[in-house]
Amino acid sequence: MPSRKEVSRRAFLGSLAMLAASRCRPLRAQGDPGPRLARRIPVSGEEVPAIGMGSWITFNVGDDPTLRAVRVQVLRAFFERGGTVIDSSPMYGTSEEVIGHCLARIGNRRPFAATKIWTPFQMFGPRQMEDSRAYWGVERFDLMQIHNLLNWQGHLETLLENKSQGRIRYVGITTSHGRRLAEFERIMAEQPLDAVQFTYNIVDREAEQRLLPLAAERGLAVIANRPFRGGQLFSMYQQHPLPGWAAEIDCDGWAQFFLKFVVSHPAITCAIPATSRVDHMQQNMGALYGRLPDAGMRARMIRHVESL
Amino acid sequence: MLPYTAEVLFASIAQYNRALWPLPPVALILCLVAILLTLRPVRGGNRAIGALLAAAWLWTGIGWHLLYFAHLNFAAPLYGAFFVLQGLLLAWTMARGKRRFRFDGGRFAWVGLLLAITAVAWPLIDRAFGMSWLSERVVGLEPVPTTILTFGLLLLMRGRTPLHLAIVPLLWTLVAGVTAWILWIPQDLVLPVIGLGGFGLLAWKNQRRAHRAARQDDMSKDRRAHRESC
Repeated sequence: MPSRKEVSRRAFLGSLAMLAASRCRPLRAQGDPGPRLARRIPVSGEEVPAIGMGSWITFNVGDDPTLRAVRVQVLRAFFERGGTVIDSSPMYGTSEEVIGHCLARIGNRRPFAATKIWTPFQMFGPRQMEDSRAYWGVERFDLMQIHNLLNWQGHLETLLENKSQGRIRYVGITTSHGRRLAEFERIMAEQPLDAVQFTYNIVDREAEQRLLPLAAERGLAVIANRPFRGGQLFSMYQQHPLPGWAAEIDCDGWAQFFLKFVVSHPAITCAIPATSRVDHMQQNMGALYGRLPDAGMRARMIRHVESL
Repeated sequence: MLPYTAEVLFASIAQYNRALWPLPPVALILCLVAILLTLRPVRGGNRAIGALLAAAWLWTGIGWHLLYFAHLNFAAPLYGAFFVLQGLLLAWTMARGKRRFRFDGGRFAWVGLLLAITAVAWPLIDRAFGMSWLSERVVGLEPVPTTILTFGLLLLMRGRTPLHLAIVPLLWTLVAGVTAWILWIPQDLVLPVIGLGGFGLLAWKNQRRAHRAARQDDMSKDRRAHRESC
């Protein structure tokens, strides 16, 4: 019987080859960027765009009408370029209220709504989810996650019950910055989850060792948070010119370079970069189109950033 | 790990100031009067200064942190609790003992006066760093200038200053300094210096006073012994 590692490596290389074959075509004209890169949620087969949107800091703007108006434009640009997955949390201040405000202003757009439950007490979980639903103005959440494993035992019970009643569609857990990975891995292996969220980017690649192979093995959707390492990747590399060979994977800037690295891992379902600027959103969503790196190109990308 | 940007922080301050109008100029005037009272003491002035300082911490804790900023920052309720604690400590300490705030021309008093004036002038400092007039932080209503005023008035306190009154302000200057560094609010980078320096000066002031009291005690003992021997 092959080991988990062997299966994962074979699955990884096979998926990369399929992805590379399907995406090896030139980027089309500006008006028609070609097919949108979508990934399937393993448990249901539902397709979601591979680039989503996070809301940590960027949508926490309170009641300020000017700042809210800018976020409406940001979210509009996100939808116009094919995005649907929006991720938030009650921990993010007014982000959920502001997302709801933007969705109401934009209208006629159905997001893939993902938020989190973030309270140490199980008894407050249902109320918090109700509040989130009211803020977003959605009928139900597509994905409800347990934020940073906070009281995960209690909340998982609540979420599974909500899922069985059709009040949420998928259940997940999250972590970030590489915290509590051993416990995270154990929960992934033992609990009936649909999705997991953790940090993965071209510099922070610890997830490749255990979490990503385990997610592939368990059939879990993977949302990659901090794909730009909270913006640090730009301060680390933006002063360097983008290598000429980045055009081979249709990258038009460092943002797309970093995002295409993340979503080209076959176990990743979606990356959720966050931004408060329309031009940055347009840049990010550009990674949803064109060719993706294959295994060789991914290794070259890593070597390149490590050499800078 | 701050869930907001400097732009959002100052937009919130603008909304807060607009909602409180005309309280910001009233608070400024009251704090200016408190400083004048240390220069020209009047009957009941010390109690008025103590009450104003306690009210400033309670207001900032409840009005800013708990009722306003908590929507944007999950840590604000914790900060609010510490500000309320400081307000209660000030009120309790002022009620229990006779505390006098007076400018005596000494070096600690000069530093205290300078800090108190800086706190009242904080809106001008914010303006110099490019803030709009509505986003300027006002002493008595917002944490940063209130903390600076507190160090100023504690240094102006005659006699021994209870050091427990400077612990929360010291902690806040450290929190605000880290926030300033992360969000890049250059005018606030001076806060840890004010906090650590102010706390150090208060400790030094208390120590000098203790030495002076001990020396006076020794001198009076010597005089008594001399009289007895004669």
